[in-house]
Amino acid sequence: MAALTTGVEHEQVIDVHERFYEFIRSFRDRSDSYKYRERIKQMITMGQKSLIVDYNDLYLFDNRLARLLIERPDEVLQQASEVVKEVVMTEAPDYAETIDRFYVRVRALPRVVPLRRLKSEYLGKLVMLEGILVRTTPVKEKIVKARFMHCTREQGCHRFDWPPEGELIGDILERPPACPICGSSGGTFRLLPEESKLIDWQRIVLQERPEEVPPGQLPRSIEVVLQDELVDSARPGDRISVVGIVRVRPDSVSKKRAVFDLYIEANHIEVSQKILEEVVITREDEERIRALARDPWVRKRIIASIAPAIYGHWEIKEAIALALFGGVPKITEDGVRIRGDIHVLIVGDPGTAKSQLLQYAARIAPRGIYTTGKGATAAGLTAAVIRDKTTGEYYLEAGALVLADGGVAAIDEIDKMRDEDRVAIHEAMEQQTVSIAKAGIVAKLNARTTVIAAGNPKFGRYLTNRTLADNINLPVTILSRFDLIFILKDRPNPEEDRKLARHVLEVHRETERIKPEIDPALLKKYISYARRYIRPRLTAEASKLIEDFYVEMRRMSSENPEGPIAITARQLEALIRLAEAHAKMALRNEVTREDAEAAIRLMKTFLESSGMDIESGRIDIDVIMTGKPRSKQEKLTRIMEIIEELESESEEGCARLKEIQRRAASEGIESSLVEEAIRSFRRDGIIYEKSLGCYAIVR
Amino acid sequence: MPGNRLELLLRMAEIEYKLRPVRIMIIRDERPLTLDGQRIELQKGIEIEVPYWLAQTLISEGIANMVESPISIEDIARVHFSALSARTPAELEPLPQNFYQNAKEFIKSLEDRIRRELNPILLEEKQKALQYLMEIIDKRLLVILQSLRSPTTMAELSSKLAPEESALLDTLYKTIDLWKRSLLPPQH
Ligand SMILES: [Zn+2]
Ligand SMILES: [Zn+2]
Repeated sequence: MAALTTGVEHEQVIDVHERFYEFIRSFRDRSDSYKYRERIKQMITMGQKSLIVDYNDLYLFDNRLARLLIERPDEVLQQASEVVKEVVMTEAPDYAETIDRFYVRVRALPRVVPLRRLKSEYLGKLVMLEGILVRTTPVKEKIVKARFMHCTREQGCHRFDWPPEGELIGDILERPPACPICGSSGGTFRLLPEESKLIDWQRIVLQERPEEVPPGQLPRSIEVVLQDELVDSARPGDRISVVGIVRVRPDSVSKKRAVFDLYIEANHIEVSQKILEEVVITREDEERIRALARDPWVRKRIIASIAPAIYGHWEIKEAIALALFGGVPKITEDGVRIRGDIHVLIVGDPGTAKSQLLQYAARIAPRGIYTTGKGATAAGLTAAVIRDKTTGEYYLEAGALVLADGGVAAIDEIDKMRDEDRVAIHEAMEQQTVSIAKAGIVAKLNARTTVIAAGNPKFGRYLTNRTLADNINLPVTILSRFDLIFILKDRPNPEEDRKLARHVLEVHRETERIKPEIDPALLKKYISYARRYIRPRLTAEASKLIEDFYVEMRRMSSENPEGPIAITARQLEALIRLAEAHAKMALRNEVTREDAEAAIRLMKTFLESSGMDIESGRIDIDVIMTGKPRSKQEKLTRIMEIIEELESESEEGCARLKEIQRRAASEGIESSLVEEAIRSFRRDGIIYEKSLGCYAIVR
Repeated sequence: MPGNRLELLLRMAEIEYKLRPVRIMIIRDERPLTLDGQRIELQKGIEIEVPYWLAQTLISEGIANMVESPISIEDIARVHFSALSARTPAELEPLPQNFYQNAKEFIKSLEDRIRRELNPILLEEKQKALQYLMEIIDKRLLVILQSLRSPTTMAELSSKLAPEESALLDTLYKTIDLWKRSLLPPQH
């Protein structure tokens, strides 16, 4: 058996095969069970071919062997795989016969190599990396054992396997230099793919987590190759840890022979479940957090700590603070998931402080990402299937809302988002998933993300005589998914201007003096702590208050039967979320009367600032959201219902245009409106054309 | 005398360890205690913070349980891995807080259990822990000795040392300084 030496401490000879066999045979954990013998038995019962080894166990058993595994993983893993095969041979010979290669997969190395520090010194070594999976290619098949046909005039044709036993095929399959059967290098060699041995193969890209990227720098990333069982074991947006071997391959872009790229050949992958544990909270931090929460003024101090260099805008800062803390997600009795995330939109004239507010929010949010509506990458806000220009390969890449899963996406200029995102963002904001199906890639990704967005007015300035929907270039279906919308107007007001000017001058004169109330690093920990541990429940008193407000708003609208409905169930859910977030801000487990009042106050501010019906002066949520007179709105709703009815009645599961128009006409709705409605529903991602001229609802 | 000074520094590190606050869970109702004029309620089910020495007493009396997880063999192995991976003083990583004291207590607690349970696995674990601890000490000692020859390395290293190690480095440095000065003619 191959004897290897550890180059680490002293030159010592280890019989890897023997030692690894001994490890499997004799390692016992504290409960006195033979952990790896058990695991192999389980592997056989489950029909698997990978044995997962905890690095620490191996280290405790024989630290020289464990070190050798890191220094020379190719040899050690090869031997280990043979040992597993041997053990399976004695346990279940029939099963061993059916498996070509067993894998030993190693989990939890004692040290994580930061992506930024991965250099050529790690070449050929086993490392553990952590990051976000941002991109995957579709699954392909790679030849591991090729079968060739060799034909010469003298010998005729014969087949052989390549490469010889014990050797592996690298990235490129090369023609054998000579035939192993007849020894001739002449004649023709033909690859027989259907007779060759293939395994699943996939490339993914691992990127630094946003919180690890030094300010002002771009995140680093590295390619990871997955094979066999590892394929499709993680999705874009997942935070994963990868154990693998560092390899090189020629740089794909420059095509220069001397330039190489590092990549990782994965040995093991784990998807991290702990969403909020990336922000480390020590015992001392916890003390400081608890002390802060005891301060009766804690909420005011938190709000004052958000972008302290920006003067005023207290309500907007309060809304941002509430979004950072978030409500409590719920699942109803019939299994419907209600999001806890609070989405906030700021519409403002250019030159107002929107961008600064958003950047600050992303900075103190756990898993915070700042991006623009166009998106920082080709994947935009949701996700995209993209074709690589150099390789021609399709891949699936996660966008901002997927990357910020479990955290907060601050989106500037949301009105400039791509058409694809306009369709997909509805699902992301309400169901909190992103679905994609294109070029053979089908995936559903998590996007449990709070959206704090800002947009510019459509006409350059906010026009007060127009509705909100008229003022911003976003479909009503997206607008209605925001819990709070604020208008930042840059109106001339001499008194305010003087105060603002004084504040701005002060900030520029001595930046030091405008320190935030609470240090941003501590505030970030405070928010993470609240999101992780605090799940406030509504008290009867708070419920009553919210309910009364809701009923009153609806009553006001029913008194005027000609008028639109003032408030909808969406606002009721939003009120509850806001009240919960208000309680969370003080780390309280009960939603009190005070929390409910704060939620109602903010909701009123939102409705009054953006929702006053211009003619009647009444708060009118329909006008805010749709900007259309009620009768037309009613007709549109009816058209929607007709599509739903026809879809469920038909066999093909979609509604034909002619059918929709016929049924609409019977109810006095004109055909031109049906056509307009369908165009608008499709643009807003409510329906799609399932087959030519036949429409179905996006679900 | 430098020898006494080292002893004193090590004693201080130990006292600091014993005085550090730890969290315990009270598992039996007892009359309240008064410590430094402060009343400590011993009410079943509550979590309190007390100095480590008091926690030890309450635990041995069956009144409380430790809330924080104690150090494990895996933790020692992790430190062993990082200590033995360091090739230069610059690569040396700081030890987890109270590492030496915790490791010592851990080994002692294993010994106690071995006397009661006679479990060969525990014996193996104890031997492993002891061996790793000795190798960690040897490796870090080597780095400390190397650093004595260069003031810049010493400065760089000092932030990564445990209090026990700092005490040694400090004493060695002062002793060498004293020795050197005694060999040279007095300066005016
Ligand atoms: Zn063998
Ligand atoms: Zn041949």
